[in-house]
Amino acid sequence: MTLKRLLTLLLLGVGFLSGPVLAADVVFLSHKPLPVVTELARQIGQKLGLQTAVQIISDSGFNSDGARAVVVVGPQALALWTPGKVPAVAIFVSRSQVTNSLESLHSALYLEPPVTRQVALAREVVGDDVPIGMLAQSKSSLSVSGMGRNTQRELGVRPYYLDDYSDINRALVDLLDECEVLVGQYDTELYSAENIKNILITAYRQNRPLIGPSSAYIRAGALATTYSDLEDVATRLAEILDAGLRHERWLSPGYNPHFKVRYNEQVARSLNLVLPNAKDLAEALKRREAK
Amino acid sequence: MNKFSYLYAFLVFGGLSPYAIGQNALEPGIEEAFSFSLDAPFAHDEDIPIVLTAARLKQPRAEVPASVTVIESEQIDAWGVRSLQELMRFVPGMFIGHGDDENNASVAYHASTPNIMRRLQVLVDGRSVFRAGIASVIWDDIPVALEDIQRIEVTRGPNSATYGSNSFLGVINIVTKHPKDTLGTRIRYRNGSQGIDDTFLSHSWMGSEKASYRLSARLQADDGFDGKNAENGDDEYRDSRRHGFVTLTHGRTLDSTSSLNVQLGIKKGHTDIRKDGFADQIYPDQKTDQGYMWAKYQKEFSHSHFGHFQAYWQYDRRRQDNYACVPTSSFDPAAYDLYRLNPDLATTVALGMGDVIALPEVQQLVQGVALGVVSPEMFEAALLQLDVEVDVTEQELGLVSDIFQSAFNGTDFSNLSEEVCANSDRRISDERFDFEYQDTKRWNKYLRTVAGVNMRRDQVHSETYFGGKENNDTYRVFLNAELRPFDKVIINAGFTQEWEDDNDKVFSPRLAINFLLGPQQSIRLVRSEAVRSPDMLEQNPNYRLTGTSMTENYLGVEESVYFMHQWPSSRRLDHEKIVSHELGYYARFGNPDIEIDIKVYHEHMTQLISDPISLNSLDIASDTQMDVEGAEMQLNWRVGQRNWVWLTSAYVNADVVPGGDLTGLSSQQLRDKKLSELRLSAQDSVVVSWHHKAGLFSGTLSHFWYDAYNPLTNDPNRYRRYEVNLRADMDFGRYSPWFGVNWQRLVDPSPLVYINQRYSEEDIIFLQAGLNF
Repeated sequence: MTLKRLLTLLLLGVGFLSGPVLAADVVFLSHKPLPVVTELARQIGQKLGLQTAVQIISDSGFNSDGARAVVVVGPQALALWTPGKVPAVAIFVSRSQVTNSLESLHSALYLEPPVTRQVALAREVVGDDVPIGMLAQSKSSLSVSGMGRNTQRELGVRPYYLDDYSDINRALVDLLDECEVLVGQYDTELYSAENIKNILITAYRQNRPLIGPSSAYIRAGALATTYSDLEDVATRLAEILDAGLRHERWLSPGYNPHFKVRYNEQVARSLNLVLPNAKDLAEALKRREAK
Repeated sequence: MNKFSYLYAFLVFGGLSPYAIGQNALEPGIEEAFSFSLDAPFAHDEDIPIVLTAARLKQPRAEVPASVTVIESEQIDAWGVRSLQELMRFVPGMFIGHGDDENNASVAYHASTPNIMRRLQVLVDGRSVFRAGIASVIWDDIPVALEDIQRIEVTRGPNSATYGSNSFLGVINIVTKHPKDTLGTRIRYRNGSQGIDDTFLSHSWMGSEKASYRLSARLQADDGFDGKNAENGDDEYRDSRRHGFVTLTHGRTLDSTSSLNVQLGIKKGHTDIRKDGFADQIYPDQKTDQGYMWAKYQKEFSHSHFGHFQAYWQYDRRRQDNYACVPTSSFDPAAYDLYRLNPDLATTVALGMGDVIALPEVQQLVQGVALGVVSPEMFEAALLQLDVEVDVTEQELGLVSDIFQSAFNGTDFSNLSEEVCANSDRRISDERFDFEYQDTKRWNKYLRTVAGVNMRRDQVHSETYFGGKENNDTYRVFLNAELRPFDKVIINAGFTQEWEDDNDKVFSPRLAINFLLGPQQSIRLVRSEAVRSPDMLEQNPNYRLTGTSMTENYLGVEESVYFMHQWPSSRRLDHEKIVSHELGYYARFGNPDIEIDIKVYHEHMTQLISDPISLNSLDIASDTQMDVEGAEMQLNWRVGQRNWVWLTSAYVNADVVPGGDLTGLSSQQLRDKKLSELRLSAQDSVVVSWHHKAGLFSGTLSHFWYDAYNPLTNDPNRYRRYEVNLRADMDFGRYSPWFGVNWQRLVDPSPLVYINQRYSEEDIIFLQAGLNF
């Protein structure tokens, strides 16, 4: 995508702020003008042959008159959104953020990859029977994200709960000593901009890679992650809307089954790791999930 | 070579201006950000920073322009060895032996003299542990516990361009663990045969969110070798060692782009030293005190620009007391003066008269000389009768006359057989101040540079060796440019330029080309030059022994200077030089998980100083030449999580051409001269180690095989040994104890390098226990 095209999209997005809202089948609600949302709306329109529009949601609410569905984009928009008659789908929200609004939403697409998928990726990268470590704030925070005790045992994951340690570094010392790889679960507080520096540098010092938590961490120095790009989000959202609007069957909230695998090649080379082909690996992981 | 360097300097700085390519080459494209950090606007209040920046990331192994062996803490634990030097046995082409005079381990890459460890650079976190005054590495005096080591990077081959002078045969770079990585308390104890008795205590803690600390202490002792005739566990050779130190390590994050690391340490040691000849009445053991302060400030200017400033100060105080009995005439001031004019004559007169003075013809000769009635020619002829061939001048004969006159007791010259006993000490105190700034910048995807300046002051104080205080200042600039003209080609061109008070300025270039066959596979061609600067004692000695508290003697003195000595400006030695060429192949495969490195090389060394530096070595010259060629291989194979194999092998073919006039030397004499450089080397060597982990238990079995060790002897040695290290790790909540046993089976009973360096039993066993909490 060229810069020029992006700017045009951005201007189009801003245009909705001041201009009259066009009658649209699907309204996308965003907390601020974002090219990502505009592009997504365009792709959905194209895929489903529907009219789409982007609205900036504010404290004074939004206008969904005439719309057949509302797509609430991001936790900021979700916080401002109030349930109405029009079926609503939340996207770019994490599993934990959507928990409180589940009843009023018809469907949701989580922005994070499922942690089991990240563990499966780690397994492919470092091999079988290698202990995989996970940091978590508490026992409950892991089980909420689908990594209960049984799953841990099944997948060979060793949890390290910050509750059990005086500080994060003591937990990291134990984890990096006992495990070959650290898998990050999606927790923006634990993996905050401040913490990630400490975690990544400490792990790297001991030649231990971090997998995940999401694609945003790859540039920071995480080795690999599964992630869904705009195309994957559009595909899944189209599936959700299509099922809901055409067949009146709203898919339950869930993770995106369409995804890719991404590496930080520089980190891989620096750790002298030989990684499987990302595309093939993504396909293999999908096949495994489909079983 | 110089032409090459200039060509690459032009390419780097003239032809490829960083701005010609564009500054944004590293920044991700806007399109990439669009799909890549798709969740960012919804998930993060602030941007996730780039932490592992291009400047911070270690060079991938396939792109490293040298042969490197990395020993990780995992291997150190698995092998269960006690000392740094033992770890070096696992590096291909590296041999360990033991020097006799200083009771110090010697480590050599390919070939080098075992007596003084001075051709390898050894760094602990960038701090050189090379001694300042008398260049050498005393392994027992390095204040770092194996438990605190994160990894050891051994660069096999000269690398002055990166590490400065003395990075001659190779560089051993020890990287210690960050205190954050050792939080908690660690206790270790080890005890076993050969007097092994080691204790280690360490505690690390977070002072605040941004500050971490570690305090480590270690005591280590053993009895050393058992001697040439000892059997069944007896120890007849006095070479024990007891050393202890305390270190404090501090790490602090200053802000999001800078950090500070500080280390302090003090150490004390006692090393038994053998008696030097028959004159010594007591053992001249070494008592040592060391200390250091080190600080490193690191700053990240941008994602592609990184710098550090490092400063350290260290001291090394060594005391060696001696009590020896020698002929009184050797303390006569006239003998001291004579030694400078004619060392052979002085040695004959000062040490040799006692045995023959009783002979009537000698009495007569001495009397004639004392009275001044013997001419130099007559004296020469008379000495020839005593099998001493020496030229004598009028002035020299005058001094001989003075010596004999002092010895006259009114009746005869029997005083010449008188012995006097005296104390002497070989105290020496070294200090080093070192400041360095290093700057790493990735200009664009084609060019990365590492450049810096370094200033060092070596200061030594010793009445015995230097007649007081001496300084030697060294200034150094260095640059290495990593250039990627094509995707698959990496060119590294670097140099160091050094200016030094005591030695000529020196330029050491290095050029390497890596051809990438894949992301983890490469072929490399390296040409490297390096020098070792002669140390202060080699170049500017003022070495003399003062006898104190002397027993009653005919000179009537309580204190005097021994006649043998070395004086300043007595020699002008050149740098030892090495030019090395290597062709290497590196590959890392995923399945099976194998990492392999192979190299063939040729090293041409000139101006080597092979002579031992002792009080009576006046004829020290930098004139030995050595050519070494060979091949070596290292293979690491990880078989699942439970097993790994470490296999190294080396073939070393070294040829020495001793300096000086070799005409008339017997083949035995020629061989002995060559042997001084080759004693430590084996022509063929294979080391293999297999580690297995099963639940709480783990074990490592290693086998060492060196053939044609000490190659020029009539019956070259074979050196074989098995080592087994077993360990059981337990976990009781907060407390993690472990127990282990280390068994070393010596298959060949022959001495290692010198005749006394052998054990009287075939097995060395020690038990180990540890506790973490």
